[in-house]
Amino acid sequence: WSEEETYTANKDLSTIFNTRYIPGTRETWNVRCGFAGETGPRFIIPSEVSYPHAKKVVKISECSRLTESYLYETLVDFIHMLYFRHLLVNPKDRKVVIIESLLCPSSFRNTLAKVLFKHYEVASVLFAPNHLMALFTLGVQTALVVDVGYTETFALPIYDGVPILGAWQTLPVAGQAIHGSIEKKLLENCKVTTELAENVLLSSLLDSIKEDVLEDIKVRMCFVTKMERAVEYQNAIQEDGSVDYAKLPPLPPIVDYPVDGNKILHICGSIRETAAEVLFDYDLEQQSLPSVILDCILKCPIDMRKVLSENIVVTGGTATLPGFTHRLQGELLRLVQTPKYARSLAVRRFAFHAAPAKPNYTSWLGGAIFGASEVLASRSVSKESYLESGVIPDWSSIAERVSTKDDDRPTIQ
Amino acid sequence: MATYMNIERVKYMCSCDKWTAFSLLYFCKHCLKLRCSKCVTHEVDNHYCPNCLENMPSTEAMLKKNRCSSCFDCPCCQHTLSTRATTLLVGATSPTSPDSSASQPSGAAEEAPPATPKKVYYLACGFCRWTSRDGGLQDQPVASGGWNEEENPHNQQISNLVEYYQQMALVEQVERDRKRTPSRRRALLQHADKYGLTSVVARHRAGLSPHSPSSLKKGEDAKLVELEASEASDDIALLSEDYYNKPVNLNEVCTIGQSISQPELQWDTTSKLKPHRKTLLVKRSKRCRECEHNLIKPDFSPSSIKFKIQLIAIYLVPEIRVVPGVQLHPKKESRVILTLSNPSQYEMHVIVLPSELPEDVGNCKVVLPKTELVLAAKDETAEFDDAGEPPRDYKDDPQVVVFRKANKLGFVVKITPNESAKEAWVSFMIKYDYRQVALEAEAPQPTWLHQHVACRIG
Repeated sequence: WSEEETYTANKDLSTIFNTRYIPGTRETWNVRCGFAGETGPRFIIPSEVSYPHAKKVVKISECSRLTESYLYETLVDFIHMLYFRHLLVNPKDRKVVIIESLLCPSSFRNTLAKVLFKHYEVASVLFAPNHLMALFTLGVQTALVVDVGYTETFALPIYDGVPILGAWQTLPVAGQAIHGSIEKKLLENCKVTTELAENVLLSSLLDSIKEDVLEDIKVRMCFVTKMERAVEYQNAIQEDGSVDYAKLPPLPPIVDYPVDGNKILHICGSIRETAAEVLFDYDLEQQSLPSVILDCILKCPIDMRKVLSENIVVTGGTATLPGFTHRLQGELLRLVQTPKYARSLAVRRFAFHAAPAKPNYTSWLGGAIFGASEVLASRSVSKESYLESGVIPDWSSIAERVSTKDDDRPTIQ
Repeated sequence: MATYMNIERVKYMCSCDKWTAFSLLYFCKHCLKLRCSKCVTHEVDNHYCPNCLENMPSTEAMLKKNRCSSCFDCPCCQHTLSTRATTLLVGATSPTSPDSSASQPSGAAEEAPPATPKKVYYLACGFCRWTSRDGGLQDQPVASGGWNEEENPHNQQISNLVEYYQQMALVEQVERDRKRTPSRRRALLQHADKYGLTSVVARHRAGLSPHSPSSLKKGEDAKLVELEASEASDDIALLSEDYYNKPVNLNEVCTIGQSISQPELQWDTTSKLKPHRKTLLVKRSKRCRECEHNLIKPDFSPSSIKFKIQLIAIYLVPEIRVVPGVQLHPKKESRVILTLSNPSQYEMHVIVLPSELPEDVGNCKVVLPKTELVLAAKDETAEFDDAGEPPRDYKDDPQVVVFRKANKLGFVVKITPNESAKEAWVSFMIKYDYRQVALEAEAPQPTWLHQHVACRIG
């Protein structure tokens, strides 16, 4: 079969939603690239371009906020690196599948299409929504897909292969919020041993912690605790906001974590255990990860709700945290019995799919499976039609296309 | 002077209207235009391994997922692994584990006569001291190859999915073709028969629930792959108690970089890390976008750094450099010496003209020489020939040409920098006669070419 590249550019919603959580920190999203029909991406690389001459590293998420021509230049360099450093193939006359979030700004996708068609002269490009693609790894038609990514959580129900766009829900809480929570807790009460002194408060030495350190802490030692322990933690919080450690269950062991080569952080068990609690805590608008899922189900027609709740797919890097799915299920079961939902929502069972992939590349794999089939040519935008019209059809303008060509529906069948 | 360390100092305007450092430019002999790396088409020429410098044909590279078959990277630090040999005792004594006996010196063999020493190999990282034994791999009896790679545990399931959706796509295609060309049914039937779908189409023609996929499943579908749809489960494994009680040894947990370096497997503990095969690199050839002629074609051998074709601007276009050490004062005229060198084997005439660009990068007032500058031909032997023939007298105006040496000359421009600007940039245009290098004896006809140049003086 043809060897198409599949990039997953899980474009995040940076400009709209990130302002409430640690503004000003860097944002990245990793790009997965590989070939259609393969069982996993070849590479997962951060979406940044380094210029050794100018001694700088440009992150694509940063320049997407700047001018379009700057984004164009950076994307040209980035895709050059993808093709000639990683995939090692000629881009000319190849088919490309790009898996994007439904919330990806049009300006970004238009610029990306311009780069691919005009500069690299690819044969065709398919922009596929990541939620729909995740279903191709399962062989099911109906599911509630929850993507817990870096800046936001995005839940979208898909029924019989059609995304129910009216029911989508997002929450600006995901991996980045966990990083913020770890940083806050570390600065509050983490002890440090340095060459000079022992057990000093971290906040006396540093004002902030680099995000890759926070990510490393999250990946290597944090986990999502079970329901009962989370409740005990919540009960231990006193009125003034401080934590009564006497009421707490025995804490997980302290981990000594070396930073900068001269400091050792003593990361206490409560930080490791409660770092991800930010996903389940209610924000100012009384929203949390489980409530977003339930709201999403509530917005769907009544006959779909039971099927959707019994077919939940969780994707995204944050879902790889140990214990995440179990806790999510517990929270959903608890929340559905609260007065807010008990009347309106009759579902009592939440079942989760396990994709044949790690959650952080599930939708990539779906795209790879889709790209291996022959429908790709009829679904994607070809070079000729792009050069003729100069636009990439948006998903909001799909209705127009459907009325003219009823078989171009972007679904499975 | 300013070429090797500070290439951004003198920039030439590429044919795509971008200012680019001179040493990064190509010159297309056929279009007679400068090309930068963004206005040429890059092509993969051949694959090679950066460690063993072994060539790999592109079909083989595709099959092997662009990875070298004999070189490995360390899963811990991504450094290249080296193969180590050691002696292992095999024989009368029960086979000992490689970890305990392999580390013994080979002299141990003499103390136990019935045991025979056997040479075994393992992989070790010279940088972080990781060895293949840490990953639980048995030592290999042969020096290269023989290392099995772990496969994605979901391979079977994924290939089923791929097959299933490929068939769905075919069914869809047949249906669509039928809808679009109702008049050519007969031809279509043959087309459908090719994929063993005749009865499916027949069913559709008979008007039997054409859109329901169940009709496919019930009918003859010996050829259709049955897909087991994934079953959702509400029985999610509870987190093991170890997370709450056991201390974490950071050295045993992978960092995110280590785990995503092998995306399909993504190990969580370092004891499971396996060496991964080295990624190949490519040699690229570059083509002019307009005339599709090759500008750069590297030599086939990976260890050679020569080119078969190289049309680099430095070899074909006169080069301008700035002689350093100029003191500039705002609103004061100062003399700056620029050098001009001729790369071609013919005499070259250069005229310096003011820039005609609507948006000029130059921010200084500049007085350019008005006379034509004549550059001697480049003679590669001249550098080694001390005596040499006496230089021809070019009758230069000493006010303009400061010095002359082989194929190079220095000329003076007078610059009045602007007060507000941080950096003083001068832009001008050079007009030079380019002669196509030809094998024939007769001298080629000169072509006059224009080129915009910008220099940062200070």
